[in-house]
Amino acid sequence: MKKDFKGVVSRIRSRIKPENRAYIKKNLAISEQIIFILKQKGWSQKDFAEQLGKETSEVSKWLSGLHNITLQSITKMESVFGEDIITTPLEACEKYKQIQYVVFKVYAKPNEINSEPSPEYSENVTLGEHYNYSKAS
Amino acid sequence: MNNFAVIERLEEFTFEKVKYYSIRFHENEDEANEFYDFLTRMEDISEITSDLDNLLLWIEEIGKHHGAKKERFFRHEAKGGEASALPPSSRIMELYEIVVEEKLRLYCMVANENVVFLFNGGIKTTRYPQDCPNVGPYFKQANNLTKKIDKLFQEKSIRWNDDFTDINFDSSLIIEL
Repeated sequence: MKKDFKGVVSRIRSRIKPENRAYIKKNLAISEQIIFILKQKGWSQKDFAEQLGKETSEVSKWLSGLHNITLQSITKMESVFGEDIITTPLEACEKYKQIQYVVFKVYAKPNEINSEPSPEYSENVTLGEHYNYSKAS
Repeated sequence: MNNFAVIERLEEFTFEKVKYYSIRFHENEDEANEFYDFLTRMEDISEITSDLDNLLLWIEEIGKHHGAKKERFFRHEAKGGEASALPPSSRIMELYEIVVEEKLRLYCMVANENVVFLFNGGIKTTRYPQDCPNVGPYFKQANNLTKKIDKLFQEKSIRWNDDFTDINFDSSLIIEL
């Protein structure tokens, strides 16, 4: 009998263990963050190896996944990068609460500028004043 | 196989970063498109259960959060082939600490980082896909479909939306094979 294709996605999704889903999600997020930071810094694998005090071949293995991305490895990379690869929600809440936002109004047609400032114009708006992290998350 | 096909949007695989599409070789909507045919044929093969589950998670995860970065998240299967394939090489999958046991292949076309066409595939048993009795026909079909779809983009029968995050096409659009 021909199998029902319409339920196939639900059938496969329902058999996937939540921890497998979380594992792939986290691994992709961490690896993408490492690659993003390398790109942002304009570092090649050779530069990265020098910073880590390792052979390029070893780092190449590391980046190719032959070396597991353990917490110890992540911490070592974070210290070389000088920035976090992983930020916990509590750390994120603390970090982003302190960001100061300045809102500028941009006029597309300079000849039609309204001399009155618009009511939404504001300066040095603190995120915390407008945004409750715990409610939004 | 019919000598024409229609494009079908995969509503169950429409995510913020990637919109997935497939191809149906039948006019009748009650027939499976190529991607669902692939899933239905593969879902009960115990040897590849884990690989199939990981493949589905991979498709979902890049669709939700990362976008279809061709060089990192897909594989180029063979010289001369136009189509891409999933999963990426085991070397890449190891980077994400995901073990790929068998040679499950799903052929696809990455139109850009936001739009991907998922075709069909199977378990590859030979070094080169064109030599494999399982995936050979699907590999050939994917290459053919990729060329045809590419031509439809050039002819503007398939059009990008304003920010290139999705495509538009007439519901009557037919791909002649």
